[in-house]
Amino acid sequence: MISSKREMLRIFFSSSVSKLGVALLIILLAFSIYALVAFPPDYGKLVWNNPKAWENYPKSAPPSWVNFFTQSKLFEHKILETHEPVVFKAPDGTIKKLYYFDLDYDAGEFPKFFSMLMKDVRYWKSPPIITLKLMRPDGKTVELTSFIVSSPREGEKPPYSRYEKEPFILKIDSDVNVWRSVSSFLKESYGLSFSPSEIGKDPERFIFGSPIGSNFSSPLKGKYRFEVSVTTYDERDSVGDILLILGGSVYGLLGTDVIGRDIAIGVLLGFPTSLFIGIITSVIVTLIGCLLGIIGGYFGGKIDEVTQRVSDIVYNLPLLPLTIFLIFLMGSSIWNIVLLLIVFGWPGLTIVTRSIVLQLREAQYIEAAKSFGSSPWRIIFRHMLPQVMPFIVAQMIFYVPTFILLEAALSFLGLGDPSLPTWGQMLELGFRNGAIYLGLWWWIIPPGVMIVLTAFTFVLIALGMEPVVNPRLRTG
Amino acid sequence: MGLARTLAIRAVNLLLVLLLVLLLVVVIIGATGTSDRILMSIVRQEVSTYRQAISRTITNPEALEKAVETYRQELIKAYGLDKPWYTRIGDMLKRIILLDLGVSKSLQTFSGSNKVVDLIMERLPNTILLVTTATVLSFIIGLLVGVKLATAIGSKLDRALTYFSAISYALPTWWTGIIFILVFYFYLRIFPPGGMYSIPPPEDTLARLLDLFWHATLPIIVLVLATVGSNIYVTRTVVMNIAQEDFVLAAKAKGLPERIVRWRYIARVAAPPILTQLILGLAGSIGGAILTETVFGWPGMGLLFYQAIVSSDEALILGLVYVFTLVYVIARFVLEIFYVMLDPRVRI
Amino acid sequence: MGEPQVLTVRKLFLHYRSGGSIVRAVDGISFELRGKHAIALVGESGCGKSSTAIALMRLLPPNTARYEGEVYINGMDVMKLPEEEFRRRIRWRTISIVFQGAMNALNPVLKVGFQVAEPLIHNLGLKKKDALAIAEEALEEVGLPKGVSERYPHELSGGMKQRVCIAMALVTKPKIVILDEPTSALDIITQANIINLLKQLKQERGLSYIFITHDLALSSELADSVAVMYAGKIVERGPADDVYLSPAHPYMRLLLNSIPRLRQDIPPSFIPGAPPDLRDPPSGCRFHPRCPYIIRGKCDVEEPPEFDIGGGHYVTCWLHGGGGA
Repeated sequence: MISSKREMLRIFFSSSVSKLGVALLIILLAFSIYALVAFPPDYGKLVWNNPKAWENYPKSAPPSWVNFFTQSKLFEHKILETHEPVVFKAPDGTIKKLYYFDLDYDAGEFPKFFSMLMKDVRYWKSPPIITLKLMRPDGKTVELTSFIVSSPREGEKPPYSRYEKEPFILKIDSDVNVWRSVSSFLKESYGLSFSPSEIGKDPERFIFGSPIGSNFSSPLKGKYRFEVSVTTYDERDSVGDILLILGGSVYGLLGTDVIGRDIAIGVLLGFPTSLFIGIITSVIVTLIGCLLGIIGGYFGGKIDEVTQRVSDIVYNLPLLPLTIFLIFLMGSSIWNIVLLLIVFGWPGLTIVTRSIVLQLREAQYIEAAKSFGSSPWRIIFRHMLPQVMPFIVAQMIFYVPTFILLEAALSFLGLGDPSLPTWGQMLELGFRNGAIYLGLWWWIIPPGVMIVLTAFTFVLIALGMEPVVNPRLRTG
Repeated sequence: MGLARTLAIRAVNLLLVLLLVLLLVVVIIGATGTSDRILMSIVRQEVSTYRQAISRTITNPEALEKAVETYRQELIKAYGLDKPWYTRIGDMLKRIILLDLGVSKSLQTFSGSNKVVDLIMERLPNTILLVTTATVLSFIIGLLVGVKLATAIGSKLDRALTYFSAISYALPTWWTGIIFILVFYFYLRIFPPGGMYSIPPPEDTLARLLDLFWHATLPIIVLVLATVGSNIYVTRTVVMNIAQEDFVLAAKAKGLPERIVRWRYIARVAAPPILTQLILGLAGSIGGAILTETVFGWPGMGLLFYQAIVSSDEALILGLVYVFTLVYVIARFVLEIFYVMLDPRVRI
Repeated sequence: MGEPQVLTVRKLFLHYRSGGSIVRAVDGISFELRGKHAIALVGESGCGKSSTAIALMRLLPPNTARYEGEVYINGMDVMKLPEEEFRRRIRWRTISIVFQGAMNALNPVLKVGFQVAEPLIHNLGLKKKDALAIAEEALEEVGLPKGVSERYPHELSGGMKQRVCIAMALVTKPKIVILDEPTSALDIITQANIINLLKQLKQERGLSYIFITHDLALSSELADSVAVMYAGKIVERGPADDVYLSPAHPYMRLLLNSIPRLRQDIPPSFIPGAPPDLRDPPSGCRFHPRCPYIIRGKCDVEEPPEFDIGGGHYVTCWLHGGGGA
């Protein structure tokens, strides 16, 4: 038997398996904490599962680092955000705000789409005029569009708010005015005549390209500058965020799914949920299982018989079909999932603990303690628990991956908590949308790898515990 | 010999498990009103059959409606739907046991029946085929590799196995399946993405069998991978522990040939605990089957379960929970018979 | 006397590897055993008694580091036999063993009759049916009731299992039987019964015993001569009466004094200190750190040779030679 805690720790940390497991656990915890700090708790409901929030993102785009492996560079999705404008005040009270957006273009393909998005315009007298211009690397400037924010309605009182709930979106692909501007730009700059409808088929090709003859086949690389000017007529008039979105075919660290969601965010958000379910369930299961095992094993009699019978039956139930059935009836909330995992999870530990306690009960020092008149609980806590502890901790750690995998499986079957993003649910959506048959590997691999990694971490720690518990396995 | 008695006790225990599951299920579906809905759908179906049958004899629409309504009320009484759910526990138990659960809302058998019992019976053999093959394969591989490794504890291979079994345990079956499809179907095109036969299936019996084999390869590999790691690990640990027992040393001292020592004194004694592992893994295999079938579109009970969940088909889910438990209990009993035969110590 | 030597052991070594260091379990021991005699191998736990049995039977564990020496059985050096021949000719046919803690010496899933019969089938090439009949007889001869052969080990009591082990060791009619703590797990009555059985068998069949035990009183019951082991070495050996009545080695003296006696007022004494770590045994005489008669500068430096003190009594101690007492 191992005497001291320090000795146990020494044996535990002497194996590389344990070291790797603990290192991985620290990484997992770090990610979880970051996810909890960086994202609000209702992010899942409000943003993640809200397709509107992802409208400006490319759909099913692979990660941007695939560019390292492709010959022609793919354009990485860009969302350009507002900076402080340059302000000009005219003597007549007109105020002109100029917003600049810079873009360094080096991709071998054109942007997939181009839109401007504007929120929260507020004015007091006359509606502001908005102009979008593009200065290209070749020194040419295109004025893409210019429009006036809608006038006050009848009976409306200042300040007049526009685009408060729904942002204004200018889609170059479907805006005839832009096509016309581009058409006249081509005429002036190159003497080429393209009709607006010809340009409308693929406006980005003309905006971001320079012709060889009359052929726009490759993008013009270099520094672009967009200028959005907002002309207002009152000091108090204001404009909220302005965003320019250039649709790319690759995005971010891990790409996007079919709704346009950033998979990296989903993967990150999966950490706390997965760890929470795994750890909380296993701790509760351990407490219940252990307590019942000790009580049954130590006191024997009726209590023992009942716990033994019940644990035997529950232990022998086919877990997954029943859990599926019950979650289906009870509704898939994270609490129901945890509850069911506990209800079906405790007997294993009860059986193990009971058998250990039964052996210990016969040990001489327990007999001695009894003969001194120690109370049963004192014997249990002072003499038995320290002996049983390594087994219990090893078992507890071993249960964590079991529960993590079960939750993932339930999620994958479409029974996950819809308000929380989990890896299982990401995979379910990917599977249902045919990601494997379409080869959208970036949607399928990362969440799965995370599940495996998380479960693997705890399995490693549990394996590292084994020599502490079973001296026969010690080497050296 | 107490063989028969021991087995009888095990059988009773397992029957108790089955009954308890059933009772639990019946109480839950009763309390949640699910059983009302299932019975009502049966009533509706019978009523519509009745209406068709009598519409030929009764032409007056009012009289027809009246007759149908009377019949409906009779049925509601007959099914006990006018009384609270707990009065129907016995009746519901009987229905589930006989799989008399009416019809599925959304699914049909190959031959067009939408009865729950037909649907499940059509899929059952496919699941058994898949799970049995995978379990047997995993057991054999686990045994061979585990025995080999027990003599090389602490070696490089042994340490590699520790990692492999950890990964194997941590790998969700269904995700492995998805990755396999991605690699072997999408990129390499050497295996089909799912299903049991090509469409249309080959005519020739041998070609059909090969086609089945071709379709079954990936799901079986996935199921084996999910369990083989722990099978190897358990075998290795059990064999290692037994190899250090006195009776092994005694057998060597007796001058028995190495081969006999290995098989009769190590493998034979290790068999019961290894079998225990198999028994404990059985519930997991059933879960694995549900997920693997879903991923590979293998037309077994698991896929049926998934389809029933997706279409919220209550009667079908109920029937499947029962049949899964039944299959599990039977499989366990078969394994326990082996166990009792292998280990004289458990005979009472 | 008169009987020829059936077993002669010369400079037998068995060392194990254990996590980078060497455990010197058996460290160059020598002794003889005459026909129809019993030699008791006594000493504290962990002194290398059981390893001696392992070495004699050549049941080497995989971590064996050193295994050498000479073992003559009926004049033939069996250490020179190749493994396969040793297995077939020596194990169980010439020398058999009754294991320590009979609890685990039987295969739990095989019927005991079959286990007793196995050596007959595999070593002597008997038919299974004949072998089983002989086994049944052998079981009856050690005082077990009829029908035991059809039972499994877990259905038998400790004493019965020990009898099975004895029957098993005798079934091939070997010359030498090693008894490795054959009674240590049994209650006192059963112990006496087993010892009586062993005595009787020795006489009836002319067996030679190597009786390994830590129980000096028990060894005096059965043994004709004694070899005392300490830290992998034999420190004293000779006829049982000589060794027990006039022990020559300080260790043996202390060991005898530590036995509590009935009807005597002398309180049992304890040997101070603990047996040495066989991975790093003390220099010189291995007993010197615990020895009350230590000669400084001699015992802790130089290893004593074996001194003949007459009458076949040998002792490995500087007190008996080289200018000592």
